[in-house]
Amino acid sequence: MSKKNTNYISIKESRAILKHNIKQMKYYESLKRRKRSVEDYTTTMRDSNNVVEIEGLKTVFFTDNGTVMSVNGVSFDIPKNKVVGVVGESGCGKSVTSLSIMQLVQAPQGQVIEGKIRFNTDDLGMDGDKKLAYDIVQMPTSELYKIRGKDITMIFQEPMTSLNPVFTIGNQLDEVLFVHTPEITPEEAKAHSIEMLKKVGIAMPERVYKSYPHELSGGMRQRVMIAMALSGNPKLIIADEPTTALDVTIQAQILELLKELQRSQGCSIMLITHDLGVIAEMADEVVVMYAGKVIEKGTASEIFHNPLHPYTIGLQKSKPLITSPSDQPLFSIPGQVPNPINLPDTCYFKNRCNRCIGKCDGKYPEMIKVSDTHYVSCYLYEKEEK
Amino acid sequence: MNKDKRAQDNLEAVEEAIQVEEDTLATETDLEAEEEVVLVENYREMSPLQLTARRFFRSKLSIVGLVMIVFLLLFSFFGPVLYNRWGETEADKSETSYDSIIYYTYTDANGNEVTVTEVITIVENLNKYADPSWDHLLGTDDQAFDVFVRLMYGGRISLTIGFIVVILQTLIGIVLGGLAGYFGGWVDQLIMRIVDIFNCIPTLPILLIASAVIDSWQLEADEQIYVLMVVITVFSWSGTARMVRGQILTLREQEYITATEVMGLPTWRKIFVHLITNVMPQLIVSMTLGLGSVILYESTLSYLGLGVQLPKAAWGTMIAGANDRSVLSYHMNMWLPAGILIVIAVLGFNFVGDGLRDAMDPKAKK
Amino acid sequence: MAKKTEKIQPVATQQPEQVVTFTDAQGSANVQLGKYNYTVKVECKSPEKVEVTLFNDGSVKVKFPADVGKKNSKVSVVDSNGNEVENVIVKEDILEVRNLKKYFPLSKTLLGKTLTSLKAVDDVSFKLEEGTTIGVVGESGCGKTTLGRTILKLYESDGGSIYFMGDDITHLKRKQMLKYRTDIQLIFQDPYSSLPPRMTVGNIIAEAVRVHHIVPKDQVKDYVHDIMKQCGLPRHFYDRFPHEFSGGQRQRICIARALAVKPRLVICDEPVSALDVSIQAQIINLLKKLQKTKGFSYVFISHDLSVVKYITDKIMVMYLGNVMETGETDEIFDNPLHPYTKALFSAVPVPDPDVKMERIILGGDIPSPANPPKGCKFHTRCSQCMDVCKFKTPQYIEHSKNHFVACHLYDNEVMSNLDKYNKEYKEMLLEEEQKALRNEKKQG
Repeated sequence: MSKKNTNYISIKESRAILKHNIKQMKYYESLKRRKRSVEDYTTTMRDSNNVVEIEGLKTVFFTDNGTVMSVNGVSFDIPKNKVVGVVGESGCGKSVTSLSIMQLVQAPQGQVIEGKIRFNTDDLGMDGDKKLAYDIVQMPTSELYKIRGKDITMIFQEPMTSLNPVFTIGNQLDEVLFVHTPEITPEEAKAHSIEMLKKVGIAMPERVYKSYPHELSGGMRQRVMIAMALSGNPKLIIADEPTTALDVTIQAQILELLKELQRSQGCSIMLITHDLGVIAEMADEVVVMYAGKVIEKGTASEIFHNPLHPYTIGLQKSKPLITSPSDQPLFSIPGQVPNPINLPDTCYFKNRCNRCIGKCDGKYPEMIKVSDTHYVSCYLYEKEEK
Repeated sequence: MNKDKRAQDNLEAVEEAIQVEEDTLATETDLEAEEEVVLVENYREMSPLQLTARRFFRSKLSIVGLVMIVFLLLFSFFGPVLYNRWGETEADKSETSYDSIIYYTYTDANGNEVTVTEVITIVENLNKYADPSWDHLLGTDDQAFDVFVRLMYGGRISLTIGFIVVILQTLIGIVLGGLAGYFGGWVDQLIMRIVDIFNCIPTLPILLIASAVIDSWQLEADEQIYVLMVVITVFSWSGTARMVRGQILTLREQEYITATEVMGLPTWRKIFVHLITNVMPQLIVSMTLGLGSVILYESTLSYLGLGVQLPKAAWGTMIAGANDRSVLSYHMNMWLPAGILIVIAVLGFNFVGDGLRDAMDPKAKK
Repeated sequence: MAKKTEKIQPVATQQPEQVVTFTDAQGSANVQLGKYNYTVKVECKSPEKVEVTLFNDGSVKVKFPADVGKKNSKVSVVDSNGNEVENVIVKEDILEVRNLKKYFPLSKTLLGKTLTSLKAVDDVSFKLEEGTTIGVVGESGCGKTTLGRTILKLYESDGGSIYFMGDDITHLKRKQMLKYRTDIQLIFQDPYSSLPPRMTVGNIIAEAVRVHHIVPKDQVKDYVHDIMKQCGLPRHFYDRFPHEFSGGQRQRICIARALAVKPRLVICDEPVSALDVSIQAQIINLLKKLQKTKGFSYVFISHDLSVVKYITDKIMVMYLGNVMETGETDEIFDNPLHPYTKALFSAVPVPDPDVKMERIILGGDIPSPANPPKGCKFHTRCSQCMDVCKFKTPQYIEHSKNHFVACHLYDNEVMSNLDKYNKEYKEMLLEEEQKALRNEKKQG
């Protein structure tokens, strides 16, 4: 093998990958198509105070370069009335996790192959003392429409492209209402939409109601997106990098608004971001992801005051602060984020870690319980458990 | 074994990196030593060429197109070498005879009808209008030339003209479109207005007139082919120029082109190394699609008498032979195969062009 | 050179740390501090106004302004006994921008005369000493990117002047500019679109080296390998294509490309904002390391205040094309004056859940730069807005040494005559109302 070609897949390998992909995709698509009754996709919540419980979620993408394990066995809960922050760098699977909850993973390349996403709904009642819940992974698409967009809504990163440019803001807001509450009259819908716009702090809701997306600034559009997400009285809002595309001063406004609305509406927010500052400001609980796995989770103060995983520590140290001294070199984690294809079954962070111990060559570390709320997946803390 | 070695290398690299990191943190002096050595190659990806090939062969239609084109190329360029029973302009001079039977009916004085049958046996020294047989796989035409052989030679000319014209028009398109797109301003205005003029000339009437004019020059058959190429090029470069200009206008906004300006690279380098290489995929697509239309053009012109003239063979000329009713209805072997080949060529090039477009579009999903 | 300064500067005693004088028209100056008494002689093309600084350890810094430049100049420093002083650092302002303007035409008359224009950069001035970094901070639409590209002469300026290493480059033609091209380089925000997709990494870095004959032809490959090593790129990347790399590695390639032509000034246009946090730190460290080893000067454009704080020596805060505040980085962060700067600082989220900063949340959106507000451009969102701000453009005031701010709050003249201005404003409002009434009557 010449040195130059070692970066590329040989034709034989590529053919094998293709064959494997087609087989797998066909299998999972057929699973989706089979008929299911209500019993098949109802389970019980572990804790009825959670809105969503994710357990062992695995979402993969079948690409030409191999199978990308975007989300590789992720488990965490989203409690009621709480903001759960998901942090991680690009490619760590945080967005794919949220898309899996919404069942918006692009098929047939992208498939949820394993795991449960239990969604706590009031429609189903109780089974003894356990709360009945939908398992979103098993739910057929036709049933999913009842939840998606109403009970679980999403705010996207790009406010510029997530609104349809040819319809007025009013049209798009009303549409959400018509879909989920068909009995509503147009007048009521309009009144409700304007009410929503007022709620998200838009000064002239009537005028904005009639305007087109391009007439609004980025911050205003993000407010409209929030209004749209709120209009069905959701139980969970997934905010995927809601302020990344905005300026700092506008970001401050939007964050303030989200916090206020979360309190007044009593919903949960799953906040996905790469900015630790935003997380610290908003989140009650934090999930740190790396290469498709949760490496540490805990309450915000645990994560920020007592970070355990070397990656979490490194992430916090490498972010320059306004208050930090500028004469020393910034702490940096060496190397690159691995691409989650064919990763070996060892700690994925091993190669970039500065506190590697002998055990790290072994299997991927299990989640270790540090306190009731604080979990970390690192061999350094294994002793403390015993 | 290889994998183990790589893992070992990685391990060493990691250790080294950690050492380096600690050093820099500890002493802060040895800044030169800070170097990124960690590189985890846990997966490999497809080479650019492989990626393009994969996307190209994903579509069945482009494979069909490719097969068609390969068949045509083999047929026209290798065919005459293998099947050399007849030459391109070699008439079958074997003697043939056929009877011409004419019935005359008279009414004589008595009112009886009298039918006289006149049988004339015509002996010709040329085997014209022969039906398909083992001697002549597709029969012969009105000159007693073998249709099958002429199809192969015609293919040579049609395809060669196609390639040359497409290359010519692409060259003109690159130069004029590149200049217009890169410089903008009045250069752009001038070139684009010329393009507009060429776009609004009604091609067919002009070609008819040109055909008459060129006919009057009494050129050799070979020379006429060159004239033909020039004429087709003149009427077809404008589309390529327009496409190149459009592509360059969008590419110019890309930051790596701004970077070339910041680097102070000479203008020719910017246009021909940085801009044109990035237009290349689109150019290849448009060239492939263009080949089909050039072949059609050539056939049309040949049919109209402007193109390749007898005794040279071209598919268009061969179809032109079907200009009288008896040939059209009784001697399909003279014109139908040529027509089919034209359809195959045009379809083939279009399929391949479409496939290439999908394969080379960087925005296309994997 | 850079290392020398590091050794000398940090001495601090009760004595005045330094004295600053300027040379006279003949190029001579006398400086005296404590026991040191030096005579400085400068020979250059226009010797007036060369800054001479004497530090209390006896070292002297001679700094040439950007329109004079230190090339072809001679400096001699003699003490009172006539002995040559050795501790002399010769520096220059590598870049000076004076009242730079860049307007983009929005609408034109038929004859091509501009009717309205977008004032992307309006009256911006700053100086940059060699080997230091100036940060340009501001939100989207404040003209920071345009400023960078106007300095690079990718845009023709509409007023003001740019001095670079002693030469006026404001009105140079493309050909004349070629001489300076390798000296000023640009690093882009988006590492994905700033690398040509069909060239190998080695060729990308080597291209300009070959064109400008930076090293002899046969050494290009070794030179490129060396540059790649300095930027933390492994050797075997040489033959690979940019699309195979992640954002951080691509940004390293961009830096290597800029580094390869041996520039003096690098304009960094948000070089880390598209990167992940852990990669950001790597790139910032790399930029700082290169500054130390190569003596680069940076114009660092960013919206991320924490990064700016970390890498810059001076900061310039921009809003809608205007400079709001400039000063030394530490000074600005310790003592921000302009309400906009304050709001900007308080808007940055702190990664600590227990620190609840007192937020100054700015109301409203950034106005469109095509139609900026009258008076102080910030007054529509300012929490301390006064009537005078709505019609009078604030002047630049040197609040403390090297700390300039454009705000009426710090203008003694305005603050002591507030009543007068309030009255003026009310009159103006009345007048406008009447005008509107008259117009209505005319139409009605």
